[in-house]
Amino acid sequence: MSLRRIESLCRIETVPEGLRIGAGCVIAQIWADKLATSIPLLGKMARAFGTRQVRNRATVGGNIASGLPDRTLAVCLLALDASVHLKSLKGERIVPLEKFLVGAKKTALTPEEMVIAVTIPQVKGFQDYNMIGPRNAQFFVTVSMALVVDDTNKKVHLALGNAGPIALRAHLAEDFANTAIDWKKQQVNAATAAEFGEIAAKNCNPPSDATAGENYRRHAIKIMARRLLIKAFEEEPR
Amino acid sequence: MSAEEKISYTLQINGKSHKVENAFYSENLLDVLRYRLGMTGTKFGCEHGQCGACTVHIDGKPVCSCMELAAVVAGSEITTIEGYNKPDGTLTKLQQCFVKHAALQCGYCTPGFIMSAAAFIAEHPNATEEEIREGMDGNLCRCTGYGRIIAAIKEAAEVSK
Repeated sequence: MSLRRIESLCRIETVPEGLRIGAGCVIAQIWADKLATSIPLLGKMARAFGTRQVRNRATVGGNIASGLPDRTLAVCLLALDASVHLKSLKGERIVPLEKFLVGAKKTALTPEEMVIAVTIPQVKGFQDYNMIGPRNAQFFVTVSMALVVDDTNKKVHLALGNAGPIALRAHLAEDFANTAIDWKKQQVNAATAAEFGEIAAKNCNPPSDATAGENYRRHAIKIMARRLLIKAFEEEPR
Repeated sequence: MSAEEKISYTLQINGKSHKVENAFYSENLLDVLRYRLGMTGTKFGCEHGQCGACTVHIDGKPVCSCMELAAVVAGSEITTIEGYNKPDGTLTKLQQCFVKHAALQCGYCTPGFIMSAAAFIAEHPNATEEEIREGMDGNLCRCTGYGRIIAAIKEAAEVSK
């Protein structure tokens, strides 16, 4: 069954909780939308997502509900603390994306429910997405990650792709960084960044497959997380 | 409704109506184009959105026809390479540039590249080489190494301004 022509699923709008993106919105629509790209990570996500042809068709709802660990969108939305709106005849419930993603190809969706939207709270601070993979465009990423720095609440959000059976948040690394970062001076030293990477790489469960082994993925996570954290506090004058 | 059930519908392709009768719900646009309607210009490559050989325009946007259920696009305007070609058999500027730069070897990916490039140039007439490379990220060619294809698209973009 196709939900493509249900207009109410294809809206991007501001709501009290932040930005609401309908589950039927395609990625190309997000890239072209001023409201959506006011969240920098969404613009970066859209650019990194699939190919031009795929972006014209891939929907937000379909991508999240696949429950796959290596999708660009889920990693970015996790780092942005997005929530998922699920609706059935019985009513609507809102689930944090992290709780929605239950396991490999498993989500919190019940058979009666469908994803109707995601909401993304406004966060002020650095945001970036990084991936390595055999191809820039459409292909399973070897490893990906998104880093969001919440300046207001002095917290970092690090989400990892293909570092476990499902896209995941690196909570231990986040907890470490939240206390180790010098928030007053807006600085992070090299040792902190290195440890941030070490903790993230240690506390995940990357697969070994035809693209890369587990050790390679852990190594990549370590280096990418370190570089992203340094970039977050070096490059963005705030 | 199950994947085995059948449906009839009309597709609007290259400005003409085409009746598709008694087709499975699950048939993709690529299969319907090639095997039901005999439009074999659109090529079958990977069948999962990686290679772009099957690119067609749906309401003006490039889309992989292998990943589009045919019944869903009833009511949309579909353009295939047959519709892109000039009716008198002469080549468009983009096609001429492909010939001039020898931007093909086996030619299997070429219809997909032409459809993607035509849409890209229309949207980005001032694209740099880097932008063209990124904009063509949905099409794979296993022969040419891309340099000549990008050069052809760049020249076509310049003369189309």
